[in-house]
Amino acid sequence: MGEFKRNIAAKKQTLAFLMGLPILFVLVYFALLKLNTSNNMLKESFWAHKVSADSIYDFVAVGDSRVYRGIDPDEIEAQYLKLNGSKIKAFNFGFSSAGLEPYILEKAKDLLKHGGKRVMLIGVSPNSFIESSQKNGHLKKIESQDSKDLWIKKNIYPELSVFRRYAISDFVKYKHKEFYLEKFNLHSGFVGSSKLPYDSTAAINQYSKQLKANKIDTFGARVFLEMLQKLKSEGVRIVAIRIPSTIRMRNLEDQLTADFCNELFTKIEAQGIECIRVHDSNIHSYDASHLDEKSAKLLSVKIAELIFSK
Amino acid sequence: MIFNSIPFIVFALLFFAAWPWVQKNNNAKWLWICIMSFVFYAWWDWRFMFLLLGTGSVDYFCGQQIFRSEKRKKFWLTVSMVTNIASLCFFKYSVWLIHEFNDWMNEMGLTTCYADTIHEYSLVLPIGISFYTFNSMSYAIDLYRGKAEPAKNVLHFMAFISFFPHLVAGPIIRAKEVLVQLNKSHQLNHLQIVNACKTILWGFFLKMVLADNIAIMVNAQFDAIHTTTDSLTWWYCMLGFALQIYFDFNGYSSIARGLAKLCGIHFRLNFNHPYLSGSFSEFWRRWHISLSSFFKDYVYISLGGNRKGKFRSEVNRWTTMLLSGLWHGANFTFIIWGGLHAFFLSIENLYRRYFASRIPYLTFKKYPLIVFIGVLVAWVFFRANNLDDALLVVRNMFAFNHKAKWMELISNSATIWILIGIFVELHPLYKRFINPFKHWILQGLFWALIVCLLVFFRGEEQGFIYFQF
Repeated sequence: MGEFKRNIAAKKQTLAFLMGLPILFVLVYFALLKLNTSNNMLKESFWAHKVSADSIYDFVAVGDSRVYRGIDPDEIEAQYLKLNGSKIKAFNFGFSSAGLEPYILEKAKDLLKHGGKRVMLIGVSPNSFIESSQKNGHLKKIESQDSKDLWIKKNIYPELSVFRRYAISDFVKYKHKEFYLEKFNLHSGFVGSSKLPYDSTAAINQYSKQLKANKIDTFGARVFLEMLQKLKSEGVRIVAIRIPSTIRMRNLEDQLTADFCNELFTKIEAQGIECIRVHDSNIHSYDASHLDEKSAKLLSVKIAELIFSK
Repeated sequence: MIFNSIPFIVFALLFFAAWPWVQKNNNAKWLWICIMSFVFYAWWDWRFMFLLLGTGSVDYFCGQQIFRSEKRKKFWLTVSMVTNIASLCFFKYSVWLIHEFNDWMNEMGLTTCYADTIHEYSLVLPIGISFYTFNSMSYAIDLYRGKAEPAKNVLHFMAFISFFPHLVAGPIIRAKEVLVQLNKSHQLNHLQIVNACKTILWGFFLKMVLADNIAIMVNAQFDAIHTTTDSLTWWYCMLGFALQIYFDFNGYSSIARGLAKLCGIHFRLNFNHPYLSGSFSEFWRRWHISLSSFFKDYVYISLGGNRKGKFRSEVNRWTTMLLSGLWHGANFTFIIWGGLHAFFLSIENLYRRYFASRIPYLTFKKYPLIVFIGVLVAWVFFRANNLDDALLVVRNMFAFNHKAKWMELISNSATIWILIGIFVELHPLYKRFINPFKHWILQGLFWALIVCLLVFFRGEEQGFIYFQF
């Protein structure tokens, strides 16, 4: 084929491409929508938002995934408004496998506005005191990203979230009618989670293995108690809570850690720090560890009532 | 800045938006390439831009001296070589050497703390240092050998060294080929633009869809290296890695070639279906061609090649392959990888010399599978984090203990990408018989499908493997 003919063929090809692309794109987009999976671009943006939040909050919740899936700051704000008639700003500073050690607690404190309510809700779980969690790998990994990348993830990704990616495994899950939905609330740091089908034992094995393989860092627990005193002396109102999970999970944790959590709560209370306990039959965990979105909202309302109605 | 990122898309749009106007004015063209290439490089860490400027200036100056002086040619070549190799050694090998020395001293019962004295700058590997150092060195050597003309001025030289498509991960280019092309003004026709865009898209597809999706399985396997001893799982994993690294690097090279094409510059092919090679020597003629030819031209031939007898030829081959391994990374695993390939090449050579005529039906050319298995085993050393891990994987591969279930193994998400990858690699074998995309409508739709796959089925964003070299 001569140069002229090939040029013409290339032009025709371009035309087919330009006409075919929007049609194909829309078809693929809508075909994939029914897979109903979490949006990875929003997820990355969510974490970028979290590590670059400003010091403007009156209320900050800190802890592991039970915290970021279990405490909804919007509900805290709404309940406060209902109870006191004024507004506060709340934020969820939870990270996966977060360890309650000075680094993350200082970071959480820095988010509290000077002259504000300065309330810090700490979600205590045995997992926050195992050796691997004390490194706070998730938080540090996100923080170590290039500042330019973080900026792009924070500001550009939400606009491009329609171009989210899918995996082959999403089709397999769809075929087996398995759904794990995560709603990333970029401004509040809360992930509204739900899973189908419900399996209130799903995480038992994993937690069991994790707690058997990792020791509780007792030195870390001592440092944590000292840190609470320090924060308290700096004018921060500390409230500790053990986020509800299933009874089986709670028993497993207590059994494998020699009742570590209950002992820790006794020590926290002995220091004059508030500890709250929430029991409600309407609060459910979808995998034995984490709360579904509805339960998280209910828990948040109850927490706000306990903290702010006093 | 990496190709598979949003900043790069903005950068490329800006660069090519101005290119048609800029290239009409010769000085503006060189300046535009330099400025934008430095922005491209500085996006990662602006401080290392001065390293590129520094070594580049020395090489330019030495090049001018080599070209002008008759008597001191060798001296200036030595200055250029020492500067480049010293910067490479300082940033790439010093930390490794100090740690190895420390360990060695400790084993002898002497406590040393040299590792604590390492300057923080040498702990960071400037991105692409191995590539631009080699580009620079080829310029000085070609001038010394009288095979190239010197760059007209420092701006021309800097544009050649820093030209962003090849800057951080090759292909390694030769001054004699690229400077001449950069000197010309190119008006691309529609066909050339379409071809360039196709090359870029294909590169993105190889990297973001195939390599990045396969990488999830490979990384998970190597992260939990002690959890399985199943041989089949490890062979499957290494097949995945062989395709991952190929599509990762070939993807980068294709994007680089496509971007250069849009500027009217032709880069030579860097990969030519290497896994279809019928011999190890053929593999090295098809894999990372720009690096292989660099080592052949500037190391193997400089050492005497095969002109100084059989034994010396073997020594030269081993030296070249070991250096090639060391070039890839400061770790014994890379040296062993190079050594394994040298071993395969020597065996092949010995076989050709002494047995091929006696047993003609057993020629290597007929057994690409043997070559592929050899390459696969060598990749273990390339991928593993350390020597112990590599040996563990090799032991598991050859223990032939099969515990995993076939269905569990192949139901992995990576399998579909591996199969597509194999289909892509085998293209030369079936293209004569099956070519469903001959019609222009189907061609157009095929590329639209590639874009959709790129958007919706790209893997988790990962840097290019060869950036670390």
